[in-house]
Amino acid sequence: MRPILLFPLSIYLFILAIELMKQGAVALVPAARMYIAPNDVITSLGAGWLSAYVMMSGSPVAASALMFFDADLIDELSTFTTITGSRLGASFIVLLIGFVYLLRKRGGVENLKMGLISLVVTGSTHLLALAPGLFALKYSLLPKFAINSDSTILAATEYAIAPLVQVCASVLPEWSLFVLGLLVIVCSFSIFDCCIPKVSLKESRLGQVSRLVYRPAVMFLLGAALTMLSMSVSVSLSILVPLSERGFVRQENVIPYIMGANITTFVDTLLAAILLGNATAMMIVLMEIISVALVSAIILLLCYRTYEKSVVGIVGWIISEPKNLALSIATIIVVPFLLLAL
Amino acid sequence: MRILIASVGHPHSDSALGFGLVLARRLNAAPTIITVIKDEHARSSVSAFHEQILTDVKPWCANATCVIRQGNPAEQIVKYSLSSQVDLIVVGAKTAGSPLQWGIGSTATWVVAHAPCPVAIAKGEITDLRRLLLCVSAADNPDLSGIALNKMTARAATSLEITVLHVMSQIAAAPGTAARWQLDADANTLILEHTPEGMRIQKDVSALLISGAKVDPKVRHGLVVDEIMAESREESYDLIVIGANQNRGWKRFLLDNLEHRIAARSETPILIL
Repeated sequence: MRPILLFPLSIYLFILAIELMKQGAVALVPAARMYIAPNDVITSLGAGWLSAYVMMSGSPVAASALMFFDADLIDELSTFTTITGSRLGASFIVLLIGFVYLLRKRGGVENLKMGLISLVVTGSTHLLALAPGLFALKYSLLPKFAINSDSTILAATEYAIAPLVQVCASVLPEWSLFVLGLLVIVCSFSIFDCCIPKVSLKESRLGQVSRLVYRPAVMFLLGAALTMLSMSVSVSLSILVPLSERGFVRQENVIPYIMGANITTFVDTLLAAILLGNATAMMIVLMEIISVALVSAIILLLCYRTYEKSVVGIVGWIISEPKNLALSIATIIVVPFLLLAL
Repeated sequence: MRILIASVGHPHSDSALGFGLVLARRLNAAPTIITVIKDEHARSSVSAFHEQILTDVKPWCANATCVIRQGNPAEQIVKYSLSSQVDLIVVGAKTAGSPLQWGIGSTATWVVAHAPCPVAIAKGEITDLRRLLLCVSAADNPDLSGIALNKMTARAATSLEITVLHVMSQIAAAPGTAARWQLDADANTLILEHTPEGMRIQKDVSALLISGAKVDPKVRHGLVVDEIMAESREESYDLIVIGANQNRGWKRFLLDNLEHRIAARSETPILIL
């Protein structure tokens, strides 16, 4: 099917998924209260992280966090940390793909470098952004926005989506609408990925990401721009492949690219918050964006070279010996469980 | 070959003078020492300084000249080089009292950006010129060895030892990328396998061999500037040779200014082609 037809379908499914999850979350809250500590930021960080592993994606988990917040199961701070955890978990996916290739003996540890760089950059920026983000949320430093519930967009979604949601609610248990919504949101992202045009700038200046060293700010903006369109860090990283000759990119270029990608990857979560009609949820997502952007800007402007060397050094240490790699992957898997247990 | 050496009598420019004279002697070139004064009061002392220099170099070079100009140092140096068709400019790393102790100085920066010819930035104390580190990339830069460097090596009194260094900081953009072996390969393997980097290195090596220099190709893996700095620290090079960022307009905005970063961090003199 042509991308031009798939795009509105993916958007429709995304909105449908939000409505299904919203309705399903309300029914899940009583049961969830027995198992979830609603105001524990550490546990919710681990929950978001682990859930992203299970879903193989961060966006559905972030959307789920907003639904639970809207249903009063978790508070603002826990929602913030759940979304942060979902980004940490999502950054593992790129590494996992490389690891699968390694296990299938298709190449050596070089397959892991892109995933490791993505993980280290995402982990460092998001963990550094936790403190300022939580502080700003706790003391309400951002002005609260009012979402006009009579807006044309919300009215249109109500008209186009509500009947289908009602049909689902009439035939399925209400709690299962949440699960159905999760499946639909995953489908919407898959369809959206098919809509992304093939980027081929090999002959242009930007196409020489393996031969030229770009200014960090330029790659930062490119990563932010391409991820705003793709709404996924892993997809925008895969766009680097057609941009480069022989499938190589320079480390100097990919690090700021990932930093930029980590900011605009929240676009779909922000859209979910807007569709939810919850101004506080929107503020939480904006705080994620602002805190990560602030940390990234500080790194880029004040200490980028040190940061760059540190990232390369950490990744180099991890792949230097199998025991380092094993220890690192074990840590990445175990930490969210530990956070849940705390 | 004509070399323009910028000297203002300060410690940093003494390094430019010393290095410039070493270069001139090594390359059998006629040096012109230029001093840019701010006001007329300094002219007599500078003239005396120049007389002493001419006396010192006379045994090995009877064609040395000295000129005095007044105004902005960087502008006057470039202006003179344009009018006199200089082949190489030698400047010191910093002007005295520069607030930016970690940079290469505003004069050197401006001269590098506007000079019509290669610029050598003098650092430390150099007594001879034997080992060069030529840093090449696989990008579409002008043929470094084909232009000024080859001219220099051909004029060197005795054979130079040149290491042609390419730094690969690439990683696979996606797992399962074909030809991944190139990311770990050494220079000889890249040359034998005719990879883009190997062909570029081979081209430079071949051109330099014609001039009679001893050439050694080398590949390092890591961040470009860090690996160049590591190589220059580990081996005792007398000069690092790099290409200038010759892009203009928006293209210049896109690319990182590697030659400035290398020049700022290096403790070895830099020749920017």
